[in-house]
Amino acid sequence: MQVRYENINKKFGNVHVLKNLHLTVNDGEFLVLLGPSGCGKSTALRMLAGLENPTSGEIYIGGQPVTDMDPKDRDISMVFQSYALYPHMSVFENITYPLKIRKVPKAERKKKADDIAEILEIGDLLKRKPKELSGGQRQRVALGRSLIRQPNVFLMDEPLSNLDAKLRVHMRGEIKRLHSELGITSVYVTHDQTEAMTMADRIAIMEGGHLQQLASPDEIYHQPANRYVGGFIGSPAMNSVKGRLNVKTASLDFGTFTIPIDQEWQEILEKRLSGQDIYLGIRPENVRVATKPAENSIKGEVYVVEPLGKEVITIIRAGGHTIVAIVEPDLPLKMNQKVWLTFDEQKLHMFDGKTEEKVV
Amino acid sequence: MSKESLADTSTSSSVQLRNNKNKRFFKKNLLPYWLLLPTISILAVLTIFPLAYSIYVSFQRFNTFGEAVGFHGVNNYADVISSITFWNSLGITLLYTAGVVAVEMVLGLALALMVSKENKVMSYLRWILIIPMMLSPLVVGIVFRLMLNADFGIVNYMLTSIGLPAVDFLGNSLTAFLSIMLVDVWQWTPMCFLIALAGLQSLPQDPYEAARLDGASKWQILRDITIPLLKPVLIVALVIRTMDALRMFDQVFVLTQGGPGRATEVISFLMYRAAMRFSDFGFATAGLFMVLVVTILLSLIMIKLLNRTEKTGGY
Ligand SMILES: Nc1ncnc2c1ncn2[C@@H]1O[C@H](COP(=O)(O)OP(=O)(O)OP(=O)(O)O)[C@@H](O)[C@H]1O
Ligand SMILES: [Mg+2]
Repeated sequence: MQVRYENINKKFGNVHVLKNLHLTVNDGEFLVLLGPSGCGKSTALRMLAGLENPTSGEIYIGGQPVTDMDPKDRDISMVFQSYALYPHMSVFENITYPLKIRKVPKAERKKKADDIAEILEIGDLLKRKPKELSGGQRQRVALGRSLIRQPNVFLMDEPLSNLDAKLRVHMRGEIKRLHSELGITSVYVTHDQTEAMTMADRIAIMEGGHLQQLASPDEIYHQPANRYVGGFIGSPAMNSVKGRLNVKTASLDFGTFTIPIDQEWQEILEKRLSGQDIYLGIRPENVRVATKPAENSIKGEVYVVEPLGKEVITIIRAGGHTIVAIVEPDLPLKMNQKVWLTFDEQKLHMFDGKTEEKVV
Repeated sequence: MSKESLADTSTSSSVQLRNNKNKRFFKKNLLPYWLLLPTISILAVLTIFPLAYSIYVSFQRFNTFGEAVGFHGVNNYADVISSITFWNSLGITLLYTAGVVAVEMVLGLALALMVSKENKVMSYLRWILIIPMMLSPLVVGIVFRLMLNADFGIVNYMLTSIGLPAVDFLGNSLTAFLSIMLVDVWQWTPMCFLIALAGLQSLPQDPYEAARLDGASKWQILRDITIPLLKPVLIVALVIRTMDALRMFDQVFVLTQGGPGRATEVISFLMYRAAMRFSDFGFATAGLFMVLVVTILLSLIMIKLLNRTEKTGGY
């Protein structure tokens, strides 16, 4: 079912948490809400569930306005960030409570619980109470309670945050599989970008109560809408260097060095005035490092070398700027060594110096 | 320094260490008892001595002037058990206790659920609801005696003014029994209410949100979430009220004096009469000890219930 936030504002007292949120989740889509802590992800989710009322605006589920509808009538299942398990019920009772409410016969409840418990690897915990479980186990019980039925919309608020790395990768796969089998519209909150990139049909990046960009993982990565998104997605983060546009020489002036602008960019930039500030964004993997000078290369000095095995993260100081590059491990770099950098012209991003929006 | 002297110093210092340890051990272990001494002495004077003395009294024979005239063995207890009035009173007391405690618990919980929402009206209402508890039971009894008076009480005035017949509330077995129950309910429902309210307000909120999303109705939330989570608190209220109701005295003393006949003669009142009218202190204390046994048994059962809910994960 399609979900639509229309011009949603949410204030807690005078804290303005969500600002003019417009967001449409398509029928059957797996949408990931990604953003830093405190940006309003949980609030957006809880409003869809009906646990918070928007201060203004309207939410639609399947084309119907639901803002005044009780949570129980929305037929939504949710994994809470805090798990919200029933403390007095066993794991089995917790997981099957939604079915009990729907008067599903006991035998069928048992079968479904066994199935879901096997997927979540909690089969041996069914008789325990929540307080006898570890954080990660509780989280999987919460996930189980949500996945046991087929609602209109699945909401998951950081459902894997407490699992170890291995289990997290495994559960990620299971959730994705379940989603493609059931095809139920899902909204998934996380602040883990790997999770977002691997699971999402589309990612909505939020920051400071604003929706920054809504696009496929690929588009988010390759065409970030603004400097914030560029810097938020990708690890290590995108380099962004503030320079000044010089239309006459068709270059960006960074004080200690200049970079000529590609033909493609020139047309876009011609509309702009000389002297305007521009942020140049370049991902670390698109910075080439050489030990000898080449045409248009920038001279710098190695500041820190961080080997990761399959690649080496190198932090380089060049003309008063700090630039991070990923280099092959077979390139022998030492601290304080002189190096020359070139940027892959196809992979440059430019953001307006004031609005920080992508230059188009 | 030679090796020997080095070894020497190390042994002597380890001996010293052990001595210090012993000293500290005693100091540490006696200190708590010193600190407990004042409390224990006060308890001994105020509780343990009277209790022990009353056990002694329950084995004594008394003459009609209320003087102890010698050891009576278990005869007092035998007298109590073989007395019809004792069993009559025990029955009345148990019936009374079951009735008032059940009504008070249900009413208290219902009121707590009603006013647990946070707003101005509710916070005033909460204050008003606990006023009865603050009054002296004797005063409450007297007020009700006036209100229920057959000839000039306000209740009968109101009944007759809307055309209903007047009722001799305290002169009729059934209505007299119901009247003392009513007074108890009026005065002690607030206590159950207060305990239930405190419990309600300390419950975690997430399970409620989860239940709403799982599709539970208000009634299902009450049955599946609120009451199970509140159970430990409710059992505490139940134990306190049961113990209290089993030894109820004031209402009967003020309102009915056990009458009409023996219709409202609860155990405490029966034993009070045995002691004060007939100076049979042996019989009275023996009877009260038997009530104590009943009270302890009932409390143990309820506390066991409480422990079980805790073990199986009550909140
Ligand atoms: N009930 C509330 N009262 C007041 N402020 C609130 C309330 N709930 C949330 N907030 C505020 O709203 C903002 C957004 O909170 P929210 O829980 O939606 O963040 P989040 O994006 O889910 O963060 P996280 O990733 O840490 O879970 C925060 O600044 C928070 O302090
Ligand atoms: Mg959150």
